[in-house]
Amino acid sequence: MIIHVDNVKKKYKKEWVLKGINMKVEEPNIIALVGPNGSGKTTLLNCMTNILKLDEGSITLLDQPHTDTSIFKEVSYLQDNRILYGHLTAYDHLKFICDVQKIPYKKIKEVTDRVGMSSYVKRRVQNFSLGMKQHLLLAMAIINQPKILLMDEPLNGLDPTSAINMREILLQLYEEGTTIFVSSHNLDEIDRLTHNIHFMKDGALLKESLKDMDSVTYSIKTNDDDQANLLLKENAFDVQLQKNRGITFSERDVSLQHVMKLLHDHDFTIISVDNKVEGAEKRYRELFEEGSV
Amino acid sequence: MKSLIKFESLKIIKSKYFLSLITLITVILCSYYSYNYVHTLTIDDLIQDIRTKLEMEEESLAAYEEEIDEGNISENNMEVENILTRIEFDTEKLQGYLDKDWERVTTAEYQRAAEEKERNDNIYSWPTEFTSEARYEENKWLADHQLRPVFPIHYWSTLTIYDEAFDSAVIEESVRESSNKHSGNSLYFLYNSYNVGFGIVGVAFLLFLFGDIITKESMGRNGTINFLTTQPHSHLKIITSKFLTLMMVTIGLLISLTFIGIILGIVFDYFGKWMYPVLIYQPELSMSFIPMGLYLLYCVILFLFVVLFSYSLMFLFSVITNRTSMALGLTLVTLILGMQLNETIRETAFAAYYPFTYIDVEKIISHEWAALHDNFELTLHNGVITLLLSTILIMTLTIKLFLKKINE
Repeated sequence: MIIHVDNVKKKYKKEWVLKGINMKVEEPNIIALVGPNGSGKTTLLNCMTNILKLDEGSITLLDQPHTDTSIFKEVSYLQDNRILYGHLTAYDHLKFICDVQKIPYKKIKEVTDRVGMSSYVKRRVQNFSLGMKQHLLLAMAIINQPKILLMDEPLNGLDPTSAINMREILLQLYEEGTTIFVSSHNLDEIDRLTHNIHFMKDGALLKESLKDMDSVTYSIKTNDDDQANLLLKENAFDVQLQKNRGITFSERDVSLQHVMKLLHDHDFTIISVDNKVEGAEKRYRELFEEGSV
Repeated sequence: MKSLIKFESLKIIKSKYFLSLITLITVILCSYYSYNYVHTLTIDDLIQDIRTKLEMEEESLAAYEEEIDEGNISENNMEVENILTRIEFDTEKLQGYLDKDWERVTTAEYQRAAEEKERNDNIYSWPTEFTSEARYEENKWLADHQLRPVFPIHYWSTLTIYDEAFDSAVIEESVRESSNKHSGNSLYFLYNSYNVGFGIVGVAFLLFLFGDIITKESMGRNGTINFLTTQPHSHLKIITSKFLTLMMVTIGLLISLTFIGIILGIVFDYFGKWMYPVLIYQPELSMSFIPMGLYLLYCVILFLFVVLFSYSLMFLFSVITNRTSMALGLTLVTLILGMQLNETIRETAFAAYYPFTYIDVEKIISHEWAALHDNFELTLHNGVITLLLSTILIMTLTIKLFLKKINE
C-alpha cells in the first residue's frame, strides 16, 4: 500500500478539523485534494507527514507508520515557503538535503536545471520572488526522487510558464513511478494534471470524486481552424470552433485519434493539442458554492 | 547528526546578526587590548622612575652626610642605613632593568620582601601578612623560573582579598591604581580578558548571540522547523544538534578570540610565559601558585560548563515561550537572581551544589570565594560536576517539552 489513511481525526481547541478521513492508494497515481480554505487540506497533509499529531486513526506511507522519520528518504513534502531560511541560498538548502539523505551533490545541478532555477541557485532566498521560492521548494522535494510526493498548494505564485513546467515535471515523475498527492485551489491546473480529484469540506473527504465520471475536452489549433472545422463537420464529427481555443470536442463524443488522422490526411498542420478535464469546476461549484452537500 | 550540525553552523555563520555581533566583540577586544597596552609599564618607564628615585635618595643621603659632618646626627643613624639599603636595592634593580636580567630584579624584590618580613617581626597592619607572603612567594617564583615580571612589582603592587579594608577612599584609590597590573603580552592580556569576560558579561553576550537558535524556527507556526522535521532524522537529533552546534561554535569563537588576543600580544609586545605565577587561595590563610597556562585552561573549562548550563536554561525557556526576547530575558533574569541568591548561601555546604555559584569563574578558580567564605568545596571539580548534572536535568526536561510541542 502506498498511502493508507485510516479514520484520521484531528482537533484544534475542541473543534474537529479532520473528521475521520479514509483513503487508500495502492498504485502510483496523481491524487488531487481540492477544497476551500479551512476545509482541512493542509491539516491532512501535515498529519500525513507527522508535523501534526493525530488525535485518532493511523496513517501508513509505503507500509511504514507515518511517525517513522526514515520514510522521508522516500517521501517528500512540498510545503509552505515559510519553511525556507531567508538568509541561506537555495544551494544551502539543497546541499543540506543531499547531506542528510546521502545524495551526491551532482544531483543539485540536475534538479536545478530540471526545475529551471540554475541561474539563481547561489542567491539568498530572502531575495526570491514567490515563484522562485516555489521552484526551490519543488527542487527540494524532488531531489531525492521520492516514491510519494505530497504537495501543498504547489502552484501558488507561479507564472503560467512555470506552472506548465511544474505540471510537466510532475507528469514525468508520475511516469517514473512517483505517487503525487497534491492540494490546490487552482482547479484549472489540477484538471490538466489528474482526473483523480477528491473534494474536502469541513474536515471530511467527500465520497464523490471526479475519477471515472468526467470526460476530457480537447482543443486543437491548426494552420486553418475554419477549414479544419468545416472538414470535421462534413465528416460528422461533433466539434465546435471557439475563438480562443480552436476546435474543441469531448472525448466522450469524438476520438482524438480519428480527428488527428483526418486532419493529417488533408494536410492540415497541427499547431497544438490541449486537453482539459471538464466537470471539476462545475462539480466544485455544486459542492461548495451552492451548498448542495 | 553530522549533517544537522553542519547545517546549524551554516545557519549561524551566515546570519548578519551573528556577523555584526562578532565584529562588535572583536572591536571591543582590540579596544581592551589598546587600553592594556597603553597602561603597560614599559622598561623605559621603570628605568626613568628608578633613576628619579635614586637621585632623590642620593640627595637625602648627601643631606644626612652633611648633618653627620656637622655633628648634628650620629654616624650610626638608622635613617642613613635605610637610605643606603634602598640605594643598594634600587641600584640592583636598575642594573637588572638595564640588562633585562629579570632574575636579578625579582631576586632583589623577594629578598627585600624577606628583609621587610624580618624587620616587621610578624606585626602587620596593611598590607596583611598574607599579602606580604604572597608578594614574596610570587617574586621568588619569578626568580626561580627566570620570568619577566608584569610590572609593577613594588610593595603595593600585590593586593589580596585580605587587604580590602582601607582607612580612606583616597588611600584605596591610590592602592588600587598602583596595584593594577596591565600588560600587552599575550598571556597576561588573556588573563585579564578571561577575568573580565568569563562571568555574567560573557554569558550574556553569548546568549544574545545565539538566543534565537530555537525560537527562530517558529515552532508550531509552520516555520522552518517543519523543514527539519520532514527530513529522515529523529526529532531528538534536531534539538541535540542545535545544542552541540552552539557548544562547538562557542568553542570556535573562544579559540578565535583567544587567537586574536595572542596575535595582538605578539605583534605589539611579546607572547608571555605559561609559567607565570597565579595566586590560589588555600585554607587557613595559606596559598599556592599555579602556572598561568594552567589557570587559563581551568578558566576556559569552567566557563564552558557555565555556558553549557546557561544554554540549557535558554533552550528550556525558548521551548516554553517560543519567543526570543522572552526566552533571553527569562534566562538572564534567572541567572542574575541565581547569582544573587548565591551570595546568601556561599558559606553553606549547599553552595557547592548550586550551579549559579560558578558563574563568576575567576572567583572559583582562584579560590577567592572559597577563602572569603571559608568554603573550600567551591572548586573547579565540584563546579564541573554540578553544572553538568544541572545541564543534563534541564536538557532532559527541555527535550521532553520540545518533542511534545513539535507535534502539537
